[in-house]
Amino acid sequence: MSLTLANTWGLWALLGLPAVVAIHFLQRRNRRVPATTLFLLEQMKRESRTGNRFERLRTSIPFWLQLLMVLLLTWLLVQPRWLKSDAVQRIAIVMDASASMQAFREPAMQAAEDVLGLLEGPLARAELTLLSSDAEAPSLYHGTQPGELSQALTQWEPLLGVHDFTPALRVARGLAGPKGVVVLITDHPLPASPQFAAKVISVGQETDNAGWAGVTVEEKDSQWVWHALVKNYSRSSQERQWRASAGGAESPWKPLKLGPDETQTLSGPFPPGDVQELVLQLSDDALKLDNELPLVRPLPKLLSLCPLDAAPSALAEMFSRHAHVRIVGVPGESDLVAAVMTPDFSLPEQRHGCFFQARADETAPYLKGSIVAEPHPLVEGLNWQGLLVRDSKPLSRLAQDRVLLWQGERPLISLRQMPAGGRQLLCQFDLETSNARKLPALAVLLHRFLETLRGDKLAPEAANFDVRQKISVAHQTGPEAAPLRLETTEIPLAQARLLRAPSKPGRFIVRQGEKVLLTAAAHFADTREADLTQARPFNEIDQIKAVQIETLHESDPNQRLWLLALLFLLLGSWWFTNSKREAQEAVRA
Amino acid sequence: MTLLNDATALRSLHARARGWARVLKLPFRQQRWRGHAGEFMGGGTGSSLDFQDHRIYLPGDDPRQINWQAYARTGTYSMKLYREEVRPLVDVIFDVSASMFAFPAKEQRALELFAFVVEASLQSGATLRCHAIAGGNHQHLEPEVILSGQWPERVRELHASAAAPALNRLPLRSGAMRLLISDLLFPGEPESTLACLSARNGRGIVFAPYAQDEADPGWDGNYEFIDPETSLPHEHRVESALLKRYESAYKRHFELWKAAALKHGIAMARVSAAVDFQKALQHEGIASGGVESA
Repeated sequence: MSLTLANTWGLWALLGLPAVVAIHFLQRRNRRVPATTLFLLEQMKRESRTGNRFERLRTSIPFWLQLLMVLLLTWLLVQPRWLKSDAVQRIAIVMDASASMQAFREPAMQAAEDVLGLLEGPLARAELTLLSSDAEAPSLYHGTQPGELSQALTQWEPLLGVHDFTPALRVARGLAGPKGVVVLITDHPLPASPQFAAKVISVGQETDNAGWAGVTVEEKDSQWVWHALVKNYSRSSQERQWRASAGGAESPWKPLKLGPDETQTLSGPFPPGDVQELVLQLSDDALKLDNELPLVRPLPKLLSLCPLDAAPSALAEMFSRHAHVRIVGVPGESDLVAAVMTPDFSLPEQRHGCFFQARADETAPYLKGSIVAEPHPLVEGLNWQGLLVRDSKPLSRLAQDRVLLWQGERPLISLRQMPAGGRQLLCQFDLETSNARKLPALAVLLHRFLETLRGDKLAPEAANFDVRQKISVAHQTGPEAAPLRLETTEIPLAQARLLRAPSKPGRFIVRQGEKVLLTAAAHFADTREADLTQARPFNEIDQIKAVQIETLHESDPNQRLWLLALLFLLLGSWWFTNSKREAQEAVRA
Repeated sequence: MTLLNDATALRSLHARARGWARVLKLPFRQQRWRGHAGEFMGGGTGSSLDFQDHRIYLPGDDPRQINWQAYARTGTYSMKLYREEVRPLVDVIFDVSASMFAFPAKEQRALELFAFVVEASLQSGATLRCHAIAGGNHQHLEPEVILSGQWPERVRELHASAAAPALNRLPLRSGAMRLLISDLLFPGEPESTLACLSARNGRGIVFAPYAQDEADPGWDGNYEFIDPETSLPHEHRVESALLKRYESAYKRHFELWKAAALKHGIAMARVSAAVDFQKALQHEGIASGGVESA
């Protein structure tokens, strides 16, 4: 039966033991008295040993009663508890999966070990659970062995951004049960007590950090140029060094001085030649995640557009202004076609396309009525109110048409999904008599349309992403299509829509079979996680211990009896002390 | 300020002692004395009113003592002899060793005893001679000095000593009443001291003041005993068993003194400092023959 003290501070009461002994000894310390009969004492010298400062203990009832009182009082104050015979220790440890915990990995693991140290040893059965606060991640450990849990801690990799702990705590509470202990180990105190009666241990300390905070890559004069942000999150100036490495070559370290909370932009071109990858490095500090910024030379998918015969040159010119769009002359080699719908024009069934009406009668009146956009991603947020369109005969409307823009009861822009697979944007106005070309809304609409087509195009692509950023990769579908592979991880086609960039910064490739679909780099740029100035220590391990004791132990059932005994001892000590004093006084009298 | 250092208090003490001396007397009547004419019966014939004997007149006798009535009846000169009345000799020996003044009560009692014997002697018309003694040193004290309360200054010159008072060095008078006031707390056999008191027809009386702190000290635990004579500390631990042995040793010490005093015909009275002086002296002094009621 394991004994635990609920209030170890009560052990201070044991100081009463030496106090009582000292009082009894000190009151009998050497007293200076005149003695006229020393010659008699000298005769008995062999019987009378030289006095010590402390006498040996002699039987004195009050003395022993007082010692017993101190022991009883200590016993009552420490609140002894015994482990229940059917006690099961259920502890669920939730490790904060925020990326900022990378800076406090060792203290966090030590805190988990400390929590395991509260276990009562082999006397009580244990059920231990180790979870990440990433609700989507599987549990790191569930079992009965603290040693195995400690080993499982090494698998904990905090890489998430700011997220809600509640789902993980809910799972932890479910596993630990209502009387179990749920501990959240994080790096900052929470503004309010977490739900599910979880206890918090914060291992964070305010720490200086500077790191890459984002990057853009743009093509300028046929050359790719990167612009990277580097930010100092601390309240003091920081000095770092940075360099770029590509194709096995590294630039020399360059000094970089950042004022408090300052952000600087560093720019540079991609190296010429076949070098496709570039890594920007910052000298090490507490958080290593944002000290490395991997990049790939972007390779967007090129869309080829073929203006059909009847298309005016203005139409081709309008599309050629969009980035990464190539005008071709052969419809069979193009990704989409653009044309003016003359009366004898028939829409191609299998091709994507963008079609406008033929020139309208210039004497026809302008359409009247309010212009209303349907809720659709292609037209969301666009302002069409300045559009002036002359009246003309509209296209017959099919069931698969999705009207994007209305004027009155007349459709102005429709999206038609052809049964054979073609996706066609039907603009039921002409470019020449309307003012559509002057409207930014039309340019944006065409850009969005082209981007949807670009996204669906099966072609290799290279791009840069944030870590865990959602990725959309065009791939073959169908029952015979191979699954996607992100590096070595196979992703079923059914889950392709859930594809995200890796959690760790670095280069990655998405393949389908042997075909490379995406060559990319993921970088860490979460400024909230990189800011370690809000990290603070906080510890509720005492409360955890109290909960543990309260749950697993039972208190001494004889407490009232001991209290009564203490009272009797007190009275007894007082009585014996007084009676002895009175007896001495009587003898003297 | 202790009583010993307060001359006024000492004089006041003598005033009280005169009252005690009217109630309690020194036992002069128990012995025939020699000395100058006085009030107490001497060893020879004298001019007192107490008839002693008749004898034939011898040449050289004082003709004033001739019993003329007897000559008228018988025609023979005969002498009528009367008792001699003399002033007794009193030698007071006051032990002024530091142990006598170790406790306030004992100091009080010792000084009271000294004042009493001085006053009792003077009231009796005795020829008084006082000696203060401490070990082997002694100092003669004139009655005037004693009555003025100045005598403590004289005895301060005596060196403190834990040894027995050397009575043999004192000029004790033959046939005198020798009153020793001492606590008798010194090592050694009582014989040598008591023999001096009874030598040369001396009538010895010992008054031994004692304090309750000596007879029943109630020691319990560690003590640093201070020797009053040397002021040196002596560490002892006293437990109940040792205390009992001490108490029996203390008792045995005075039993030896009493036995020796009896052997030498010396009255010995231990006077407690715990109760009133007169009661203490009546209790011990009358029983031992050290004093008598007036």
